[in-house]
Amino acid sequence: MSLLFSQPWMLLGLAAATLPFLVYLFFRLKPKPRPFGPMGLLLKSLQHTASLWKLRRLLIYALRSLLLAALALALARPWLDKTTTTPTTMQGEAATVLVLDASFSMRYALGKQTALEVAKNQALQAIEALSATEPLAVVLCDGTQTIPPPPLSQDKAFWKRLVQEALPSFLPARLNPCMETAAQLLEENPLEAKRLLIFSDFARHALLMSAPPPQIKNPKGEMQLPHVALYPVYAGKEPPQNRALLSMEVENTTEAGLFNFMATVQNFSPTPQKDLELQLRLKGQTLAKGFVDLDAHGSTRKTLSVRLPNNETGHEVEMRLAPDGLAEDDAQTLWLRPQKNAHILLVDGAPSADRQADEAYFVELALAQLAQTQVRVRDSQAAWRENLSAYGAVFLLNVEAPPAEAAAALKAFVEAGGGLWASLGDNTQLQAWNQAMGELLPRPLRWLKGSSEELPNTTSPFAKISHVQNLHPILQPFAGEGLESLLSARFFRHALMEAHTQNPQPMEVLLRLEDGAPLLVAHQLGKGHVLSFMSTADRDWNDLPLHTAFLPLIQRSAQWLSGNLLNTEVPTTTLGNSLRLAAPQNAYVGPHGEVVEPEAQGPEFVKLGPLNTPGLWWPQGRAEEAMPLLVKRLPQESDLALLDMEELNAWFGNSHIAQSHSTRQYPLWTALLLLALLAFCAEMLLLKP
Amino acid sequence: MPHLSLPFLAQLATFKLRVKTLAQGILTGLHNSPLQGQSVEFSEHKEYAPGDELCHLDWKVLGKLDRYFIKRFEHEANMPFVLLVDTSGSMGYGEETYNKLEVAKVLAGAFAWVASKQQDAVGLLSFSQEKPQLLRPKAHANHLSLILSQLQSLKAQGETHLGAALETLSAQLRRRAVLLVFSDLLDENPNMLSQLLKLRTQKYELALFHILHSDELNFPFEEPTLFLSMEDERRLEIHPLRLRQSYLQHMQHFLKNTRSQCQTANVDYALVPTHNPLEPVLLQFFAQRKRGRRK
Repeated sequence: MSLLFSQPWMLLGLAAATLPFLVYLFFRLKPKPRPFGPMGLLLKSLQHTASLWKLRRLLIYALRSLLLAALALALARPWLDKTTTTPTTMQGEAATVLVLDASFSMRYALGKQTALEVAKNQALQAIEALSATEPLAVVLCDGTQTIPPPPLSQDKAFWKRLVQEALPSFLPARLNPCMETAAQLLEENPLEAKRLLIFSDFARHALLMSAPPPQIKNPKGEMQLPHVALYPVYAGKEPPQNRALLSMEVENTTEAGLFNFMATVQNFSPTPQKDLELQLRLKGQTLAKGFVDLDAHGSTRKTLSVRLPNNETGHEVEMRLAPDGLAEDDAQTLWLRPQKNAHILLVDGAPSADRQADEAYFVELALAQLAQTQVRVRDSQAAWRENLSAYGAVFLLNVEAPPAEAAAALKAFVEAGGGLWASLGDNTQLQAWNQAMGELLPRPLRWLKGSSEELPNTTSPFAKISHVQNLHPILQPFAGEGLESLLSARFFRHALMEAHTQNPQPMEVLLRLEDGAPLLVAHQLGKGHVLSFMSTADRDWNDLPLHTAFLPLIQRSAQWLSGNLLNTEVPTTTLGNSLRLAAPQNAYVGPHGEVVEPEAQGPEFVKLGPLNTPGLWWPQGRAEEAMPLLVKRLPQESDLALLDMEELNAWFGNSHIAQSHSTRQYPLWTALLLLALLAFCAEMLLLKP
Repeated sequence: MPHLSLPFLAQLATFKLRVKTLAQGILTGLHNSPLQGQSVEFSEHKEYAPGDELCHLDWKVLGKLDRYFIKRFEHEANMPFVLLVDTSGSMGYGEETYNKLEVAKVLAGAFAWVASKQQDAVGLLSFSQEKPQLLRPKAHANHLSLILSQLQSLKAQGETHLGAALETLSAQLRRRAVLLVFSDLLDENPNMLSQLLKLRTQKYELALFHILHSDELNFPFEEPTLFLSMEDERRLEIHPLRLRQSYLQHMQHFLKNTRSQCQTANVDYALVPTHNPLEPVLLQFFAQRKRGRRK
């Protein structure tokens, strides 16, 4: 039995209990002197009441001290933790194996102690209760690859030390293999009586109940169940109420440097949660805050928008939810890669002295506002002489069909990782275009369509966009007003693609017009991408440049083509798994300083892991351009729903279980408040003359 | 006319004026008192016999009945008054101008005044000193001034030395006398009252004016107080509220006991709370004496 406090610092208030005596000793009112005649009568009166009053005065001070002490103790929220550690199966000599759950869920804080600490105390007391001649062993079940512990021994001190030094992992418990290991150890021991003690939270995900319970082969070769005692850490306590920040994502917005960070928060408890604070932090500083409400067992998404400065080394951004008993699953970290400098070549097919009539005018204006982007405009003749490898992306704007050498250079450029934007115009001769650009286009172009005369059942002389592929990174931020702006653009002329072709290439239609014709098509060629825009990039065939959606569309297209849009892509794996990386690699250091050395797998690859700590892992001796690895937590570990003990009984076989529902908590603060009230009333009574 | 309480009297300029004011009030109230007029009183008629004083012959009866009757008078003995004033320290309790001793002094002065007006002899003895001095009773007019000035000079201090006072009284006063005692009877000697009352069994008539302050009677204190004895070095620090009930019980018992002992000893007793009017006390006393004499 132990006395625990939720707010132990409140115990400092106990010092206040000495106040009544201190006040009496040092600060009491000085009595007023008064000469008085009937001193004899006064003394005679005092003889009868002096002892009573002395007692009464002492009682008043004692009651005041009791009142203050009880209040201080009640504010510290104490409870009595009563644990009975001796299970009924502990009768008689038996070989004993203790299975101690040290998985992630055992990090849950039960007041001052974590669940693991409670389990460790129970295990230590159970070891203490064993007789000196009983052999025992401890299997630490922390989710890592279990190394079989040494065989059973009577060295209690060794096993107690093992329990005391046990640390919780971030991995899920796998109680089944741990129990198998324990059963194997028991089987190896010659003692006939076998006993298995399990110390765990018995979270639902910790035990696979479709598997058979642990069994031991007896000397006759028959399989039998050992005597099992269960020590659930939450027995007699409130079940854990956990919530978790399950995931954190980021997306670029149409504004340079402005990012949307999206958090998915889940409530695993049956109690609704209100006004939970969600913080976005960078280098320990809070950049943004939000609040979320969660229904019972519900989840929600919350987006926080933050403008981040561009830097050379990238950003390690953290989102943190108001912590609960399991604080480790209330935070997520993400790394934002630094923006690369992008050089973009605009090939102007219809240059004009009148700036607004220039084909590249609107695109150039849009790209000029993009951070870390240098734009160069060339006419067709000059462009083909440029060294394309110096550019991240090339925009062909209403150009005539390029000569064969230029087309080959463009193809090589794209295959090497470059990006190509191809928009049409009056200079585009379809046949020549198809011939020169055939390998760069997903489909050949069929004809130009003046949309008004051939659109069925409509009198409008233009077509509008009817479908937007929001899942594509370029179009993800288009929602609300941005989407409206995009959908309201009018297209007076556009090209059509061949529906069927001999060698169709995989492509993705990002924008589609009302007549079903693709307007913006993306496809991959080698390491690069091509975006085919079936209309003009100025106002000749449409009025899109006059809409607000034009700017982000061109900017995001340029970023995507030059590889600057998805800046969070880092090698990622889930907790407990390994990563296969291209050789050579340094050792990696985990969030808590753990070091994992790479393991060669052939000449080209190395294996890193298993990685058992969630978060960002950095190469040892981190260089400026180093990229981290991201190890994601397992969301199911945050679900601390407990196994039904009756179900567990049935699984182990009722006759073999001696359950120790032994830990009970008795909150004492109500009794203390009542005591304080009684002390107050008694004091009032005594003060009454 | 306002009640002649001590606070009122204290506003009067001089002690003598206070005494006079009180005494005149008493005389007005006692207009049919036996102390007024003659000190001898008609008792009965007796038939003349040779040898009787012819000056006592009742001429009116002779005129009406033609018979000789002699008027007989009950001649009241000229009993001197002695004022015994307690001047121990406890008598100084109260405000400076109207404490218990002031009450005693004014009362005693008023008695002296009235007695003097009746040509009765008045003496004075204060009993706080170890060697008290008796101012012998005399009836002439100048003696009143002496008594009043002696009274005026009395100060409350020291312990009560009743034994010495009584010895002095016995030694120096050989005649019968009426002793008027003004005291709070707060003495550590438990036999003080019985010593006083023993005088009654001797040749003295005794009247006791028990003077107590309202604080002593009601114990109205509420704050923690350090009580200091007015006669010795004793002191007591206490919260009065805790003691009040018990104190009042003891005070009631003390008063009841005093009154009862006085009754038993046939001694006139009057409780004089300092803040009450003084006239009724004196009037009641004289009325008692009148009744007592007629019995």
